[in-house]
Amino acid sequence: MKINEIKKIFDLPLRKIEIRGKSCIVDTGECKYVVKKNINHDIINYLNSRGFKYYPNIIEDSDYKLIEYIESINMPDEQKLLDLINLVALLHAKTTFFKEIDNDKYKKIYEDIANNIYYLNNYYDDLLKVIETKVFMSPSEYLLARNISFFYEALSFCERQLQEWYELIKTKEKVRQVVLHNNLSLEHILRNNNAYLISWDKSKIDIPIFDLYKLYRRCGRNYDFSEILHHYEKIYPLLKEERELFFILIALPPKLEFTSSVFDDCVVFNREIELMFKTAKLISPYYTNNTKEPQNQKEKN
Amino acid sequence: MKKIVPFKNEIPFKTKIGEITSISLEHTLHKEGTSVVGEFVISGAYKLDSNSDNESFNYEIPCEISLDEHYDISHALIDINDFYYEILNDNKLVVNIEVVIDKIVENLVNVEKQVITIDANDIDKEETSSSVELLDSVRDSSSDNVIETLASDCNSQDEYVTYHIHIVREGDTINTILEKYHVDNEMLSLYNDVTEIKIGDKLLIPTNEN
Repeated sequence: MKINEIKKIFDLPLRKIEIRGKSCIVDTGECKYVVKKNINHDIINYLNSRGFKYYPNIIEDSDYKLIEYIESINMPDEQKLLDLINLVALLHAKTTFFKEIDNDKYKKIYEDIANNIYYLNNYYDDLLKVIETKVFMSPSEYLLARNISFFYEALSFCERQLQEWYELIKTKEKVRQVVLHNNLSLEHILRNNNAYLISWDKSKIDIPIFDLYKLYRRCGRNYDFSEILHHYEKIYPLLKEERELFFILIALPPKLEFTSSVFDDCVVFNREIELMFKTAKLISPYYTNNTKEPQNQKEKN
Repeated sequence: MKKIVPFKNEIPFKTKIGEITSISLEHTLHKEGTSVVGEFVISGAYKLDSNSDNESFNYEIPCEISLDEHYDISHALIDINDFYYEILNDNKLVVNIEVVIDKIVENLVNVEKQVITIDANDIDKEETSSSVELLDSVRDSSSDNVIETLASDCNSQDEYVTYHIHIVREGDTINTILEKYHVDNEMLSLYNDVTEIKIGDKLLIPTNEN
């Protein structure tokens, strides 16, 4: 982000400049604008053509985009998250189309996840062996060793469900594709009289669960995601194979590595383990009895 | 006429800076006679490392730009031309600000003569003083620019003393410089350290025009 380039292109008086990530908020004294490097030219037009207008107006479009500044009102994060999920569901609903299944792509997803599971199983086996040789474990090692069964459970769950998902996807001819925002977070929803999604730079077209997956990785630990998922599915119910893949992705344990700082390790491990507990809690109602749908699904039906 | 004045300031932080998550620059520069005075307000949030929460910071940097009386700035527009920052040694925020003063009206014919003094005092007493660079136009145009400074202590009559600034180039010796400006060694060593001069050094050479 180069301020002097922005100044040259738009010739605005700059009373105040605020740089936030990849965007810059300029205050001319009279009004405020957001300036961003122009990356994605087509997505906004496409959204417009599909009747999704929950994004700020673009005033000028050249090497940099000059975007209307939205004065957002303060609201609790839970409310923000609900607004966000409603908008995302709407985005997915409005931009859905069906595409013939690309067998190679799904085979690759299957193989990638299967390899990942195999690798993580071996990785944690080895790690545990090393930890167990120690007479006195460090706090971070103890934290991992104490919860290791949880990792194995998650891995075997993923392995089982992955087979099921792959069998399911093989029988399908078409899959749903939507426009993904691909960068969902609480900072990217603004609200006044209307709600706005901002930061569309990473948006792309793919299956809908990737948006949910990213959002879950960012917000799953701090908020009740079953409620969020329920809200999403009210507007845009997930298909069985989509939900399966979503659960596999979120249940897959991360690769935890030891660094030089035991304190940092403990913080990171604790965070990840906490998220894994939450994930188990989120997923388990769907699998407690295979013949039964979970509680919120039943309500919907 | 348009003038661009660059500023550079190092702001030491009490803690380590892992990442600047947001930073804003606001200015309160306004005209006072022939000077432009005001403050830069640098504020924002930073993280010590990727696992920590945001901490906020807020610094005020006073600034004064004085122009010679033959520049009329009553209709001048003051604005920020450029702003960028970097982190030095994990604990210093270096801000680079360029101020542009546009629509300056010049009353004299002599373009070369101008007065620029720039004050950037300590920030909140604990910060280091600002280092200030002169105008690009002055610095780059030629090595023999005449720059007047408001150096009242050198002249009891409150008159301006005129200096040449000579940038030492290849082939220059003390003698060639003395000859060129018709000053003696004593006068030169009064204003400069002439024991060791090297290429790129700037020498202040008083002239006796006034």
